[in-house]
Amino acid sequence: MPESAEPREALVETRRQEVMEQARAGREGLFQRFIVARFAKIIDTPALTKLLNSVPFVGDVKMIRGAVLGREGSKQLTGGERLNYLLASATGVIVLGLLIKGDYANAAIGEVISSVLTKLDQIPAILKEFARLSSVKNPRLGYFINVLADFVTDKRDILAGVFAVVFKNALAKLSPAKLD
Amino acid sequence: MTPAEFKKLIDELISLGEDKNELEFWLKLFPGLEADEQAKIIKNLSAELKQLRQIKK
Repeated sequence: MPESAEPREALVETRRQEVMEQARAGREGLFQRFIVARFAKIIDTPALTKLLNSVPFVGDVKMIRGAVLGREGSKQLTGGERLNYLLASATGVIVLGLLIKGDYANAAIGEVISSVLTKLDQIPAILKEFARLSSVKNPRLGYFINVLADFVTDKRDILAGVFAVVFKNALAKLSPAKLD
Repeated sequence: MTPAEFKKLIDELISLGEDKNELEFWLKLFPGLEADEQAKIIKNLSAELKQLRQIKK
């Protein structure tokens, strides 16, 4: 092998990783916009809309993972790992919004959060029911939620960690009075 | 772009080293996106594919 081959291969691999990283970051931004476009209308409460835009969300996937896993979270994430944390954080925000708008409308946000954290196994079912209801008026939205529900079904451990981070952040930003 | 064409785009990116789990999620989500959203994700993936093909040469 020529002496220059290895450095060139390294440069090519570095460039490949840069291209993929840039594209993934772009897709994460798109996903955030797709989520906000759908759920800002559904949640339709100024404080919750603000929450959608301000919690550690898809733009801060590394930070969320770092908060969940500590020092281990600072290592490089694969595309699949980033997606797991991205979708778990999106699910956290959606579920929080749905519960506050729904059965828990009159409960303090702290109670809502505690309740959700004890019912993580029910999250896919909550999303599936939301998908079913949404499909009546908007089949594409129902399909979108179903995909999200399927994805998080077997990711209870990630959901638990990410929900705790997302909800802790929500607690810091919102109070029950602001949800009126 | 039809769903079949979108799948072809995804498959080629995976063959060039992109993350299978992430791209299969987008493949599944694709029918649930609005037309303008589909155009945006296609633009992102097509641009990535073009760059990765150039690097491969």
